[in-house]
Amino acid sequence: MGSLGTAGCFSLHPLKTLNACGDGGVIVTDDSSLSERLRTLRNLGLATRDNCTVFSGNSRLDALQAAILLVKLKHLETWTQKRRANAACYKNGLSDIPDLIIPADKSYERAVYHTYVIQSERRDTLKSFLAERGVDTAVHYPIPIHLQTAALALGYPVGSFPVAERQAASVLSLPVSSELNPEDLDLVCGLIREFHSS
Amino acid sequence: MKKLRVPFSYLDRQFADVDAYLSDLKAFVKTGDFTLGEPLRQFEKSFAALCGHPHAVGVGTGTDALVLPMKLLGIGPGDEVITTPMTFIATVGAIVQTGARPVFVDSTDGFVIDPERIEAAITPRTKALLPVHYTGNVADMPAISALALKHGLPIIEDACQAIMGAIDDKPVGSWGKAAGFSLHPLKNLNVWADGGVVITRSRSLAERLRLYRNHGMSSRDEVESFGVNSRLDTLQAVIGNRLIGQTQWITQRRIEVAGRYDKAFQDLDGLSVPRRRPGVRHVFHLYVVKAKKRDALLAFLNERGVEAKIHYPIPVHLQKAAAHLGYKEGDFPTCEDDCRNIITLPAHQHLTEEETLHVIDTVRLFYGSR
Repeated sequence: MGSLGTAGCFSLHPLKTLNACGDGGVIVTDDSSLSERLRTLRNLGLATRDNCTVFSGNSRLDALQAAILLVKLKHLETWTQKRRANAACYKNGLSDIPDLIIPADKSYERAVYHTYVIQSERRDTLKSFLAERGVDTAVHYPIPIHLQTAALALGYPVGSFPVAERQAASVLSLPVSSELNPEDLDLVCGLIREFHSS
Repeated sequence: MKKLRVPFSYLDRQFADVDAYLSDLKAFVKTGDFTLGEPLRQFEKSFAALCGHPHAVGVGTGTDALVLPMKLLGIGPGDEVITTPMTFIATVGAIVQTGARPVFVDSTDGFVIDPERIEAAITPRTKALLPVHYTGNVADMPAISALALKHGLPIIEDACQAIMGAIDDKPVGSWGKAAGFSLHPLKNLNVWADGGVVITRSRSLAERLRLYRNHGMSSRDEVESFGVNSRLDTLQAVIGNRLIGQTQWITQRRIEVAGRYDKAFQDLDGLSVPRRRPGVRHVFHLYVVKAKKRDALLAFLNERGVEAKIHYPIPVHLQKAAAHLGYKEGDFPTCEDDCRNIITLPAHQHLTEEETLHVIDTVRLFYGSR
């Protein structure tokens, strides 16, 4: 990823697959002049200690976080494979449940499952059902951005984006982290199956 | 000739005994409380208390500690913000980040904005005054406040180098709508990465800052107004919580070392110590003096192990970045003259007696008055 656009932007937030112990981000690009400009721009526009070529902000990835990330980076491929294996487990365990939409696993894509998002018309009751049985799920996110208070000034009414609005009401993220075992996933699948047969 | 090295950076000494910090970090990492976590709340509380103001909001950098309050005061494109070219580049980077235009006013012999020259720079587009407590000296805030009041302009104090600075026991941050502080590794109160804090006496501004630094989110799922992501890492707050109790001692030590230098250099013709304004608590983030034959002195000191530096040789208005603002050489004579003559001597809290004397002796030797 990151090779399709002029630049690819990544987050290293603690809840990301490759995560730091704080906020952080990375930009990748093939464009060497863009990367040079980014290096200057992230560092107050300083070309050298004493020479400022353009006024800019300060947004440097902490070297301390980079030291932590260097340890973790070695495991990224393993973790990603584990997440993909977890997703395959879910697909196996959930694909025949009617009224449940699971992520489409397209052959030409390599989905890395930062989140594993299913869709259910009875999302909120399913979420409580799972929570009562010890399974932590999350909704990413219940309010689409155009309907946030912050977006009022942009003037989008309800109904502007029916797909996004429907999804906001039905999405549910299942636990998919590389720390989970097959037994955990079987348990989640069994509970979802139980819920839908009720 | 003694083979003594007097380094500018003290970080290896400050963290020579690192175990206590690492055990704090180890316990912290186990909690996973990385984003706006409990240690950050604790740090903000201690920081506010240390600075003598009710609210402290941790942000990503000292630069953002200026950008965020300016943006929340409505400063943006088409506006002008008045500051001085005698500063680190970040002050001006912060103004430009808001979209406003930086307007410069010359500095005094104390390296801070000259209040007598501010009024001439005020236009209908002026939206704020941004004095810098540069080097740890405190700008003439009573005079600047009077001007701000007269013209109905808010003040944002750039206190990035001036934690614990004060005038007549009134701490920095007492005059502005907000004051921005830096926790950069070389600051008097430092952490292990970039970090900043905004201090304010306004509860509503503090609340808006807390929203704005965190994407404008009032809860996990609700965005009240679009914001940015500029949160002081909770991990850095863990380091800050261990260091903040040392700030008084650090400040005191720096003031002592500066006092030694001031006294030792007062009879030198070649070196001019800035006038120390009575009542001002200068916290000497940087010990800067003006030197005849500055570049030769710098080389002489460096050759003899004294890691002196220049903060900075090129004034901001003459940087390439400022070309579009249209300033030219000669516009700010005090600042420009200072940039040609200033030198910064190591004056940190970890200097030994031997090192302090070595700095003094080497400077005196250069001017032939040992």
